[in-house]
Amino acid sequence: MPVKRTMAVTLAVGLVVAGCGTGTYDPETPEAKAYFAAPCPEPGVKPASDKEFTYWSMWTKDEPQGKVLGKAVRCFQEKTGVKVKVQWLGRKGYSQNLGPALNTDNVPDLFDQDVTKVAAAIVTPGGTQSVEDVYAMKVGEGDKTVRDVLSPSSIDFPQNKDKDGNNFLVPYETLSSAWWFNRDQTKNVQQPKTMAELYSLFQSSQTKDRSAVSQDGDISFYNMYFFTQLAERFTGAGGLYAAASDRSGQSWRNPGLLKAAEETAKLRPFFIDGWDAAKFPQNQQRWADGDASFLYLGSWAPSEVREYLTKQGVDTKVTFGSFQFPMPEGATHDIVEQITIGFGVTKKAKHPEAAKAFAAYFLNKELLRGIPDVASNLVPRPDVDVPEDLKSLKAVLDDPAKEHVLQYDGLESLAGGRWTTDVFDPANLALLKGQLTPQQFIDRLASTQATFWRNQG
Amino acid sequence: MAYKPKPAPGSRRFSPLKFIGTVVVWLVTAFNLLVLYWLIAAAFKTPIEIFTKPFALPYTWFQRGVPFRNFEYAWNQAGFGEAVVSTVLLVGLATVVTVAISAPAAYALTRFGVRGAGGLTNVIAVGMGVPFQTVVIPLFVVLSKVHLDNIYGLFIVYVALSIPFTVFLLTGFFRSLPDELEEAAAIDGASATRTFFSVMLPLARGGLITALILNAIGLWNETLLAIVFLKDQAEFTLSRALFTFYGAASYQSEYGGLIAGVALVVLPMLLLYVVLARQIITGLTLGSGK
Amino acid sequence: MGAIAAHVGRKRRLFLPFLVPAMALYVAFLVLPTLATVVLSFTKWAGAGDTPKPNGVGNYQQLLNSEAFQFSFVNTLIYVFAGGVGTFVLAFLFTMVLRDMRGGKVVRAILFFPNIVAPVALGMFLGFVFKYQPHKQGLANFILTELGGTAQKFLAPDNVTWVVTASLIWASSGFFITILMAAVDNIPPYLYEDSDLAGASPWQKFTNITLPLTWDVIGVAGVLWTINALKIFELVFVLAGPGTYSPPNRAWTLGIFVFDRTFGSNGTPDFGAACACAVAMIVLVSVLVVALRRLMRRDALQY
Repeated sequence: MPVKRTMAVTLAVGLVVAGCGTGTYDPETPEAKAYFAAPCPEPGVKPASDKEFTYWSMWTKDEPQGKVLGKAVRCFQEKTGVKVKVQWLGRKGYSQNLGPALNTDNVPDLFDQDVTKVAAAIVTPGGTQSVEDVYAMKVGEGDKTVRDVLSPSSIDFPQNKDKDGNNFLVPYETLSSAWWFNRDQTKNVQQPKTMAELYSLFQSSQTKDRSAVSQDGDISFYNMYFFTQLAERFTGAGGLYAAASDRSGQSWRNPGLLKAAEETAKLRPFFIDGWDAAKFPQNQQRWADGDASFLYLGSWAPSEVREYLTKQGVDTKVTFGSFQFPMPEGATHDIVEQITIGFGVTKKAKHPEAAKAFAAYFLNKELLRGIPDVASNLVPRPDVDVPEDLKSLKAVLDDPAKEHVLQYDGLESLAGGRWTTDVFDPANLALLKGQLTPQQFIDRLASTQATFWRNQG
Repeated sequence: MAYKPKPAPGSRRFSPLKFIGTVVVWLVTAFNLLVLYWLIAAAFKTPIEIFTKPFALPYTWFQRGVPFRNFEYAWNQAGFGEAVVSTVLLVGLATVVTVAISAPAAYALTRFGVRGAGGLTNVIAVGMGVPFQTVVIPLFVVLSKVHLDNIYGLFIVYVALSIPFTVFLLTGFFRSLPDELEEAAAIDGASATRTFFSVMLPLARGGLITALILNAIGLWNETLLAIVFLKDQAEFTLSRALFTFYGAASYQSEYGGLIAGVALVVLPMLLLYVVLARQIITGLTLGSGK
Repeated sequence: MGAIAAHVGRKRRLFLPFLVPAMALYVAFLVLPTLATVVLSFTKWAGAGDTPKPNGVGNYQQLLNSEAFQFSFVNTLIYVFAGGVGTFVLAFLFTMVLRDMRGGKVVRAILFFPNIVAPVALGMFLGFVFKYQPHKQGLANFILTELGGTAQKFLAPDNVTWVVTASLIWASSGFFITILMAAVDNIPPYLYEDSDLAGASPWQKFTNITLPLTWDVIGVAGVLWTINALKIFELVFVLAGPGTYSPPNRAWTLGIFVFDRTFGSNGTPDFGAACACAVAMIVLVSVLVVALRRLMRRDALQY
């Protein structure tokens, strides 16, 4: 078997050589280099008694946010002498490890995730403690406290409160969503004022080789944007959540919701061929490659796509622009979605003091600016740089005329997340694929929802 | 190849069934080789090469003088380096202990002539049918109460859950061994324990090795229990690390590192298989046969 | 023969010490947890620090009414039956050819190869193979279009069950070919030679010699298949979805259902429902295995 033997030799050599270090190429930007080279700021609070704490991260070590938090951990250890035990568990760490660990005494002190996921998976079963005391801690910039430096909209909203009315999350990254486009490829794009303008923009951007809209249809909550964005403009903050919580399902018979479904259905012809057989992140990359002009996605879109382009060896001087869904006819709420990612402290934490001190320390400007500078994302501090790609989105978020709505109006946490998988996702996919008419979509939601809630007991 | 009798005229007749079969065999064989080639080649490529020139030989990293860039990334950045050590230790020990516990049991069940042993063997074999999903929840809850929600707990679980298949496989072996040698040992006055260790075990060597390899392959690739029990990265097994890395790699478009990670999971087993393929095949024959 | 009788006696004394470690682990880690799962399936329990509360058959009622469970159940049955028929047809076809093929041993080894690959890795790889993207198709569509066909959306939720079935057949057939070929190799060659002389076609040789003489092995192989196909999880999870989050529930299996309700949930887990689904899995596997054994039962053939 000569083929196999050669293979085995290659493998052996590969394993041996892979162990030792040779040079790698370096995708870091000058801003990122400067960030990592900068000295560690002084913490505002040093833990008095704790000598260590454990942090289960939603990032992996090599992701940009992971690297930024990695620096914060190193700095915290250096400045306070407290040992930080980090596990880089990735996005699903909260459900694969933290949730089950709540059954035991072996929990981390600090963890992070977005507010909806934390509320559903960790707060509902009573796994967190109040972080109100963190808000009063100094961040290491004179007398400024956490509450002083954070934008109020990032903490003061009902979904960030546990059943005792205390906040359970210390936010450090803000997410929103928008229609994204490449400024060099799709020029002269203005915020559409009406749905008709949006459709004609899509229409005019289509060519033989380029579709209007790209979409990774295998991720249910990416498919969820279109209908929820439009519906929230009819119902406002909390309205969609209320409709979904209605045990009879009859709340779906709201004319605004039908209208939202009708507008959603009109987007379908603009979707890229193959969106419904996608394998994430295939279609956001097709958008980056120029196979489509627009992509509706969270504010992380430019940073993920840029990393893809860098690794493709493409010149990444491209800049991305964004705009919001226009107000559909008859809609009354001019909304923008927002969700925060933040630190939570577990109820059974053995070292809450150190964990909380670290959460406050990370909000220090010199550390937090790694999120925009290295990870190209938004932060809940108004006085930190905004990445070029996100400036237009940030302006919308800061616009006082806009009504802030929690991402998907918080639907993801309903019935522990099962409402979306069992009721909404299948109907929504069928609507987007044209298998259900808008009216059938509403009827189906109304009836499956009634069954669903009856079943939940 | 041993001597083969000349085929009779009858079999020379063209048979559509056999023709289809031959074509399919070669197609599937070629496809498997292609998969193997693709995997190994892609582990040395940049993402753009992986997707636009899937069958070309890798070149970019070689040109830049860092041919092992992807392996290095997986090894250092995605934690496969640590995982290789944990996995080798965990899987190695678990398979050896599984066989060490199962072999005496299989021997006792087949060759002691104890009444009810056949029924007991069946009871254990039924355990093969229990999906991991059925036992994972109580096991996790109880083991975490005694602080075994870690690699040590996983080790015990791996051993325990591998026992039914291993006992089943080994009973097949022990049953197929001739009685004479055991009787001769008895006449020589050897103790039962000694007969087992110095006569029966060496005879069943083929079966033991098969059991070791099949368990090693199964546990090496096991993901579900590893996800549930392991949360300390220093303890991650390769397939657990791969599962986490898969998510991160798609956010980061780190396909080169991802495929190198896949290669690190697959190639050691392939190597084991290439060296011991004949053992596995003979072993399966006896184990499943009679 | 006195020595032997004494030996047998001594041996019997070793019966317990030899058997107890294996039995103890078996009872502690398989029997008791299975019973615990059955008990827990009658409780309401999120599994996130709360304690289980009696809930009667509530979880089972919920399962029956849940679309996600219905999809999971049907898909699992498709994998067991369609996948099983496909795998065994392929394996038989191969045994017919491999028996007197040059280089058969090497080919067998190559066919076995997918069995040593981690299902997670297989799922990732097949994701690349079944990619649908005009001008940059995955391998499957590349070949399809080269041959003049139209590219298919293999990974759309409506199709993915069948794509997984095909993948399963490809990946598993090597294992079953190995088992069946081993049994075929044990058939005395003169039987085939005689039938050659009589001018039998491959099909006749298969139905009159191979099938009856490997019947028992086929029975064992069928049981192994059923057991393995029923718990399929990682391959579908990774192939039908983004890999991080659960795939659309149209593509679920019972294994994915249990995972989604426990460690893979996006929100509050539901360990009670997961336990009920796990019980459904073990009931299903028992029913199928017993039925299969009934079906395959017959007197052993001597040759």
